[in-house]
Amino acid sequence: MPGRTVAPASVRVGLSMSRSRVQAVAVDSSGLIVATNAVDRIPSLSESVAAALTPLLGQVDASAVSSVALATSWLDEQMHARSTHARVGVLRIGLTSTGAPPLSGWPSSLAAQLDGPRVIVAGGADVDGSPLAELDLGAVDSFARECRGRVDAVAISSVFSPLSADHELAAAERLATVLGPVPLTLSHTVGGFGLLERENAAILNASLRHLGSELVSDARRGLDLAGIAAELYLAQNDGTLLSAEAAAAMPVRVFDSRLATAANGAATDADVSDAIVIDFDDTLPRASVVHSGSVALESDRSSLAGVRVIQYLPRGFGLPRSSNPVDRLRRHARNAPLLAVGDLAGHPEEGGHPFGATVPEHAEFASAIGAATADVSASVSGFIDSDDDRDDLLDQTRQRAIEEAILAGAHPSSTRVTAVHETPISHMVGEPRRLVVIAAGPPFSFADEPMQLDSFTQHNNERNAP
Amino acid sequence: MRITERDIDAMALGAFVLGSGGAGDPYLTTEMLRNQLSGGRHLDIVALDELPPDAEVAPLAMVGSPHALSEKLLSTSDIRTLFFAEGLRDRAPDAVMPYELAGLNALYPLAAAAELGVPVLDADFTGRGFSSLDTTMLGISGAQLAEHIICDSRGRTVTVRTTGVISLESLIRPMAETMGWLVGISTASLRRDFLAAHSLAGTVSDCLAIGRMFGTFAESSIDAVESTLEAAGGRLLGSGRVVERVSAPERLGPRASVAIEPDQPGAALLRIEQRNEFHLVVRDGEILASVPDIITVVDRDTWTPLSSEEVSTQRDVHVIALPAHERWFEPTALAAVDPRAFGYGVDYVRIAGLPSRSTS
Repeated sequence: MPGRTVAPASVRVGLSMSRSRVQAVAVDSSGLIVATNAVDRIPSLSESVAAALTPLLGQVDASAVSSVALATSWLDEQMHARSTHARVGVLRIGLTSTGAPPLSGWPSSLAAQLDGPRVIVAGGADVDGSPLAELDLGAVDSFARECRGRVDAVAISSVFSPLSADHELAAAERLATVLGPVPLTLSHTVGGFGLLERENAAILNASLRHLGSELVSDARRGLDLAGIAAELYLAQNDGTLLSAEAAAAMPVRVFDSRLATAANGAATDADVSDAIVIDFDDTLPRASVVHSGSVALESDRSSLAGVRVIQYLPRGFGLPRSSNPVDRLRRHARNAPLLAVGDLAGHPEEGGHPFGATVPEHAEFASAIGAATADVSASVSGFIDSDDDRDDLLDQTRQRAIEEAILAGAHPSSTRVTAVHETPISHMVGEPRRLVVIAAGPPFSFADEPMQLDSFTQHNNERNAP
Repeated sequence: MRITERDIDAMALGAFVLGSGGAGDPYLTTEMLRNQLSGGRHLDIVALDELPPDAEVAPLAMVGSPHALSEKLLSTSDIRTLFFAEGLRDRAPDAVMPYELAGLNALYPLAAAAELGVPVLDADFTGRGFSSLDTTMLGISGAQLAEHIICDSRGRTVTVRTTGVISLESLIRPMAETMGWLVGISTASLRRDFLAAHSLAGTVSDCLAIGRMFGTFAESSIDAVESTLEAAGGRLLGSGRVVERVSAPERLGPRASVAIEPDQPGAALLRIEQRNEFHLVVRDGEILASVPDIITVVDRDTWTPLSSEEVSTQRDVHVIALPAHERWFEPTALAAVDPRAFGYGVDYVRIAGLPSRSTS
């Protein structure tokens, strides 16, 4: 039976949640801000989100909302605030690595919270992707038995898994058989070369899985309470978006996105392509840099929660919060304007802003604007070891990045490769390169094309299933 | 000298500086050493004359690609294989020593010594980072050893016995490639008289001192940094933002030229020529520093050293030069490691602004 046709929706909503406030903005397809609202945060995340969203619907029809994107530091905040923590088991595959066991270099307090079994078993891949050793399934099984009833999540890493994920996948299958529904994070899904850093991100991710699910389901309930049936996205640490489903599985990517979205939103609001943005949220301010319209990112020696990872994070992300965060960044954009945004930017101390910064029109909403206007993106890392197959490999990696971005929620018809980073590798013959390809596109929306309401309802039912 | 967990970060910082942009990020070997020294354990760093007269010492190094190391990491069993080196040694050595005191290769022998429970000899054969196994005190003085053992991540070993003069670099590097681009290497055990003649004494202590010095920079004024560096025989050559990086692929690593724009508008660019390590610093045609002196590029804010790969556009950096060990300036040694030896058509030039080197 054919369903009713829904009119195309064209308004994107951005949400930003700090410790004390929740801001919401609605942006139309021409980039115009058509509604804003801000409320104090209350203990219930869903009700906070609903309270921020509901007044927007006086100015925007709920059916016109194509997507809602949430930027928040909630995971960072909760990781520190909660008294009980997820117990995480760590399985590393590759006996070549015993000199630096899992959690090497972690802050001891954070390492102690994880409290699960950790082992290194035989297996993994060599530099050319061939097996280093056979996967020791017996050892995987005994690790699985050790984990039974003792862990809330498991991280699995394997030597050179970006080149061959076979052993991570085989171990995951065995663990799933023994442990049932315990969430598993496989390091190749986190990506990047560098076993310790990739494993660190996988362990952090495993430790955040339950919080990630809570964040996503509470935010969705907030949309439901407000009567908005649009797709939910979460902003990633780099300021781009990820579908709610993907974010629940990969919470490490949405650990603390507000600095990046605030930077992007501030530049959009002030209509500048380069800026230094100071984010006055409810604690000491942070600063970051905008280059050519988007937040400047760095991946070298980045860290999350004091743990070394390989993730693209805003320049300034790793600097300690301070009363004067601009000093260290000023040289990165010498002639660019200073923009002050965030909850408290509109209330400078007597005598104007201490840094002589400009306060853009929608300063309090910068992070929400950044979320509302962001693309969905995904990155894929690859390795090129000789010139012969270089073009093929580059094409394959580009295609994989586009597929990953679409899986992350980007619209299939307008997703494209936005960056290709090639890093030459020293001390190896044949000019090998590490490759990172990033693809991005606007959030997918069912409303972009006329669609059947019954399939929409079915989708919603699936989405809301427990 | 006795080092504990508290000294590790300074040792790693010194090792990174001595890498002169190469020799690998010491991060992994640092964590390995930290695991070894946690819980109040310590490591003894001893001078040659503190060892018994009949003492035997095993040098240790990693050879391969940082790419392979970053994934396979290091295993504690390889260390034992190299140390006991069945078929190469008659007995277990009394100490280990760094072969190349720079980057990850500075910390690796320290972690190994802690694992094995033996002291580290306060000496090595380079005193800084060089990519080739031939550019060592042994290689340049014709004292290359006849016996080497290499061990890969799978525990496979190759023992090499040579006669006559063969480039160790040309011999070992293809083996490292065959064995997964990462091997540990050691030599036949070395005696005190040999080490007295061919090793650079005190370089482990020097590395720690350099690390401690650099560790103060982030909290110091620029003036204080300059005078500290000058007291150590070095110079702060310039500061600014990397505005250009041009690189051309070449066997064993890309050759690159980096331009750094100082803060003052219109001031001349600082140019760095590099391949795996930083080789030359030039401003307006004047050479400010050259290999074998140690050229280090550090992050402008944190003063942490950057590898030659990390010096990319938009980076804000300081460029620093420190003098190499004096034995690199003996004529035969200098000929093997001066700018001409690395393919630049210029002679070695003393670090700018410092009095010329005495020829005593």
